[in-house]
Amino acid sequence: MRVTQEALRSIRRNLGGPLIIVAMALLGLTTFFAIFAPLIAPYDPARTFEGAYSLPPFFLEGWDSRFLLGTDDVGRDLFSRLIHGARISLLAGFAVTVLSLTIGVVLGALAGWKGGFIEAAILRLMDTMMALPSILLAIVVVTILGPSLVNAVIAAAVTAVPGVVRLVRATIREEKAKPYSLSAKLYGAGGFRIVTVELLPNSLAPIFVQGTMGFGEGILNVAALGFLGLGARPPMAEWGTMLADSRAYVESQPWLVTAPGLCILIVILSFNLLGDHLRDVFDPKLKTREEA
Amino acid sequence: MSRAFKFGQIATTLFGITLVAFFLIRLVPGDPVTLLIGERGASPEAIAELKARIGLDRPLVEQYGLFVWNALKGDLGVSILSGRSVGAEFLERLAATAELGLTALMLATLVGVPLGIFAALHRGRLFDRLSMGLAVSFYSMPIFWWGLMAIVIFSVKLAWLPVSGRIGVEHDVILKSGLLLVDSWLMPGSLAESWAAFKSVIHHLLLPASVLATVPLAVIARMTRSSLLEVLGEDYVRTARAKGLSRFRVVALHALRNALIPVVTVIGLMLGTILTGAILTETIFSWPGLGRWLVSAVLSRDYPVIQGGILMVAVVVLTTSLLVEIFYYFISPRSRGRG
Amino acid sequence: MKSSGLKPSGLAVAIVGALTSLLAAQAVSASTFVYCSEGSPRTFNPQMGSDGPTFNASSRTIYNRLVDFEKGGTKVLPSLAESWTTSKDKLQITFKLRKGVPFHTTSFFKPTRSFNADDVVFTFGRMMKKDHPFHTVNGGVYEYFTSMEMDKLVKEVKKVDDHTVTFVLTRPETPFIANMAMDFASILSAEYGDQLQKAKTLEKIDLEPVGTGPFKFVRYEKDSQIRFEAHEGYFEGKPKIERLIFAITTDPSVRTQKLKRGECQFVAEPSVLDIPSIKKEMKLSVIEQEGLNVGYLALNVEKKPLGDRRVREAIAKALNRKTYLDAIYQGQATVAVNPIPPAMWSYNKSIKDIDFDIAGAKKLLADAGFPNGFETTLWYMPVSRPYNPNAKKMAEMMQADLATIGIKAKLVSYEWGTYLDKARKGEHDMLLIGWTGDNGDPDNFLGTLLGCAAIKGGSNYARWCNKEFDKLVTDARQAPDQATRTQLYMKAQEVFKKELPWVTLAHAKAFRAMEKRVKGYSMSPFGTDYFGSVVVEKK
Repeated sequence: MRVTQEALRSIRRNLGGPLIIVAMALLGLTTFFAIFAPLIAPYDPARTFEGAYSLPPFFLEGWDSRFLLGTDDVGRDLFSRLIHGARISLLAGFAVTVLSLTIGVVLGALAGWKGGFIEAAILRLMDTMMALPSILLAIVVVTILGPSLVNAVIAAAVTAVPGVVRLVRATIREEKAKPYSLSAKLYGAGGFRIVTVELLPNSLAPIFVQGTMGFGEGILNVAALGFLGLGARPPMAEWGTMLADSRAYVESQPWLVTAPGLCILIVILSFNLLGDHLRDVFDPKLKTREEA
Repeated sequence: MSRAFKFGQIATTLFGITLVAFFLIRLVPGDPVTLLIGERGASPEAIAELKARIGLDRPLVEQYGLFVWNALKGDLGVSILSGRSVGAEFLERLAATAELGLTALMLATLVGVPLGIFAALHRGRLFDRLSMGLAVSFYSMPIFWWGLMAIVIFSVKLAWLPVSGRIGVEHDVILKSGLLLVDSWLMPGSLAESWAAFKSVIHHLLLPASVLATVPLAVIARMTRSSLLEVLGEDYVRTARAKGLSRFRVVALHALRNALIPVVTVIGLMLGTILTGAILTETIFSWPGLGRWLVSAVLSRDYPVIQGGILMVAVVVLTTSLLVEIFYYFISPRSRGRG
Repeated sequence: MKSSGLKPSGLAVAIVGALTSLLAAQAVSASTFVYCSEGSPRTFNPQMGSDGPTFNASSRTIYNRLVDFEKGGTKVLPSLAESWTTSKDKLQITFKLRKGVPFHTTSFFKPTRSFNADDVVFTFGRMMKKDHPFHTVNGGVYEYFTSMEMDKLVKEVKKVDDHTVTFVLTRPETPFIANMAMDFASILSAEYGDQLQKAKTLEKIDLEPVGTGPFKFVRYEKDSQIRFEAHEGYFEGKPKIERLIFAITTDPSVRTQKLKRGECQFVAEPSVLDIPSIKKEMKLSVIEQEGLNVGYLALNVEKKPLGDRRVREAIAKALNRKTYLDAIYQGQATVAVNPIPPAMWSYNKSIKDIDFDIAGAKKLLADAGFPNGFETTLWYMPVSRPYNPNAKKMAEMMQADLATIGIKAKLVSYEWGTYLDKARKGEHDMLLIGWTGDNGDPDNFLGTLLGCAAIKGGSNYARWCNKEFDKLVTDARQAPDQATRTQLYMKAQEVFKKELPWVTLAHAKAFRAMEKRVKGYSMSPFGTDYFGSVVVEKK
């Protein structure tokens, strides 16, 4: 009982300003939409309504009461598509984060613990990847694998790996030099054990912060690939792809472009606010992250 | 870290780049010949013959060796599509991207640094919160969307700025340096014509540069703020304040100088971000720069352009980060101490 | 978000406001003509290109051919050749060349003689002869020449005298004269070739082009602009436009925006979505034409169960093609019945179209043994083409239509190069694709897209080889006169409609938008733009 009370107090203390509450609320709402998309969305996102092409949203003349936010050029309900888009974007962001963290942590820990040739090889590989503009690397990866949501996720994860590797390697090295790991070594613990049991748990905070920020970035990169026509396949309702599809209507039906763009912005903004806050909580020393 | 070691690292990275640039793109299904022929089709013999002519029939390792050998000699080959030298095309494109990217970086610095300073000085107050809220929004901005919206608002609806391109076609500016801001003064014709051309260039630059500046501006503002706050908390600043120096003098003379070192470093290292942003910005604004050049080369499998282009982009990125490191080494007493 | 988002741009806007007022005075002079073109040309040598932007920037501006299509039509007229005769065995075609036609005088080339037979021999020699000094220059990929198998058809190009040239063929080929009017047959200057050989800068032949056409090449900046000036000695008379500028603008809606702002006078292929808004503007006009194209759904007959004619017919019946025309072509197209467009000679009007009929489709499927439908793939192009501006949208609509008869079509697409590569190998089941004609001959559709030989070449995407059809088309290719050929092609269309290797979808209209003061332009059915006869009236 006391433990929960303490935890609650610490949460309250760490909750930060109203901005964080708004961000959390927005993320909560998006997650809610994402999980219950089929129940909330009035229609199947792929369903086309014959004759109901390009209808405007509720605040404009000519609104059809069946479609709250209007329809797109093939007669699909925009509101339903946006809600299902939340599902796809969150899933994509999650997958990018998990994938890049897994690969990044393994490589980073390996480099940080082993040192020597292995470290040099891994670091040079990461340098090579970082010397290319990330979106270009992603484009090449997607053209190799073929455009699809899964492959866009893989591409986005690949570009996120170097950042994680460097971070993990640096923290592992820092922890490695600390007395507790030296003593563990003295007591004859194996390398693998030390890394997984001692070092990694102690490096969790920065990795966690990186993960939160990476979540937003993953969503952004998947959406950017979708925008370039290299992401989700139709009729999947992915925000970036929806944006690209309605580019031609940016003048005549601006809401088709505005709505998915705003959704992307809001979700990423929420993740970044949250990430900023978590960093302040976990490690006030960490600086503003420079690289995109 | 010794300097020789550093150069060794860079050389290894560049070698890695040649491998990636060469072999990765060859994993992509389809080849330049298929794309050249299009919907039309041709007999397998004809296709094989065309491939042989571009040298695609040779063993991959041999092709790779040739690429590296020629690159060492400074020859990046010839674009399959345009028939022009890859090196020459790269320089042209680099100039266009540099003009856009540097303008964007300048805008980002001119707005971002003051914003960060004011925010730090008003820490915790409304201005700080607002400007940092703005910064994090900018940082989260999907610029492909932001660019589209900017075009609709400023070019189409308000008709303030041109829709796309680098200069009004009525200005007969010949590319010399590749930077139109410079070349507009080198064109034949009167000074008035040059001035008009120069204005047209600025006019065309403003919108794409502002869009491209969005993310860097946010990063610079946040960095400036946190760096200044850190310095303000350090002993010598507190000592200076205690000695009775005015707050303005302390900030302007002491704190700012030290606080800006990491900021300058960040600006220098922002090149990767700028290039990534440029790929999207150039697509939206039809800007004839590096990003569009490379993306269209990937899509049309123009192997020489992809190989050469990626290698050169990496050279530019690595050179810049090396320069930044050197700069940091000389300017920062701390890093020299650690050496 | 709105107000805060404007902050940095707000500053920019203040500066710009001042600049705008200063800039407004700068007007384009009347003799300058700005054409918002679709894309960068790949080369300035039409022998090596196949796309509209390349032809517009080279064959339609810089070059001429021995014969040419009439302006705005498909009839073949004399051009650099004044007349031609065919030998009895139909294997020798002799052209009499026009005298006194000058090549361009430019900053990089000063011609000393007029056009003659050497230029013709040089031009075709470059494409035909492997030992020709220019054969391998700039990649040496002669797309049309190769894919039309001209290398196998033309045995020799003989100079008889300075103004007479004979083409020796390996077999009779009636469409040959029309082929000579195609862009790839544009005539290059042999004298310029000599100059480049001496200077050892062979590659310049395709980068700094010299021809006999209405405009001279001045300068090119890739993805940005191409500048031309009038050729004062043009044999059809000096063009009225003095400076011709191609402002390369790949995005169709941006092209329209530029036209509205007066940044260009003429726009290639405006988006169909923008047509109504252009028509509303007083100073602008839009012209349209039945395009020489067809968009279709190829049914790969090598794949089960598409090999069954009944299944193919069921698919054709299940697709509500009229709704596609509204949603995708904005009504600016006609439903295609035959594989060739109605504007083409030998079009068979008596053929009845397959009607939208769900019940009929279900019955056919049941007869074929698939009462509950089946699973298949539907491939759609990742690019926009005039014959199908939005294949993705169309695929989504088709997917919904096919679902009503139980066919579950999975949508598949690749990036364009991969798409073509895989389609050529026949990996698809159903494939959205199309074709824009390039010489006005029915063989260019029926033979190129449906002949048995085209399976190997890769352009027969249905991979359909029907003996009867193939014989009709092959006979027609060698038949002596148009009446016989017409009959054979009419019959071939009947066979096609009976067998249904494709679901024919649409013949799209082509559009051009321009300022009203632009006169003297006529649209080519091949989709290329010619400005030699255009006049821009003063404001």
